[in-house]
Amino acid sequence: MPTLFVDAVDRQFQFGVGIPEHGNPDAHPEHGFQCLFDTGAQASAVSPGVVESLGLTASGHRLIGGATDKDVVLKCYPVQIKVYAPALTKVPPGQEPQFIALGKYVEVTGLPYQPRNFDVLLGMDVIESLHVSMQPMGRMAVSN
Amino acid sequence: MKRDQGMPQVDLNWDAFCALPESVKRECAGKSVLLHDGEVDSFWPDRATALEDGFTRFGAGNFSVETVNAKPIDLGLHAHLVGAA
Repeated sequence: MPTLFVDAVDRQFQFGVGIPEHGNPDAHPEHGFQCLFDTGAQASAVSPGVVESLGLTASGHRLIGGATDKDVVLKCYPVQIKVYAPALTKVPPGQEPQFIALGKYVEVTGLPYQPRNFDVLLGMDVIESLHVSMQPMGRMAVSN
Repeated sequence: MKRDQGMPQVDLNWDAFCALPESVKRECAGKSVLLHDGEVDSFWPDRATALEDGFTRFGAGNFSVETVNAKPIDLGLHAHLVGAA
């Protein structure tokens, strides 16, 4: 059981995340994306770029509470997620990244805009299934 | 309702979900409904089990799951951006 350690960058915790295509995770190469841990979000979400590049098929809709009184209905997509550390784009040559496979489908909401610094937002629906601890000096430890 | 060729399953099913009678919505509030080919298939206590049954019986992309009278989900900071997009 690996424990992933990630240091905060600009006070944000960014991991890598791999999303095999749903329904048949062995048939397609995994895709690596930048992800942000966000305990303030009740559910996980992905950018339009993730939906497009993986060709995800929606499995339903989610009612998302807006900051004002207006709620928004957005499509959601079933995916299997592997959390990597360090982020896939930061793995030194010759080093294999460690990962945690969640082992279940997660329905992620498709965001209607492209976030500037991440592709996948991991919210409490994922975080609550992991052992997560904050450590001094802006370090986070994650295991399952 | 028959499946309209070319219309994504999720959109076809959404129309059927929105057309559920108010009495059913009241009776099944909070439950998850599995839909296939524009028709209600079954009701489930949560989305995860409905999703699992959908994958098993219909295969990926051939069904959808909706929650009856769902509570809005809070995306935290991103709720501001979702509302503005």
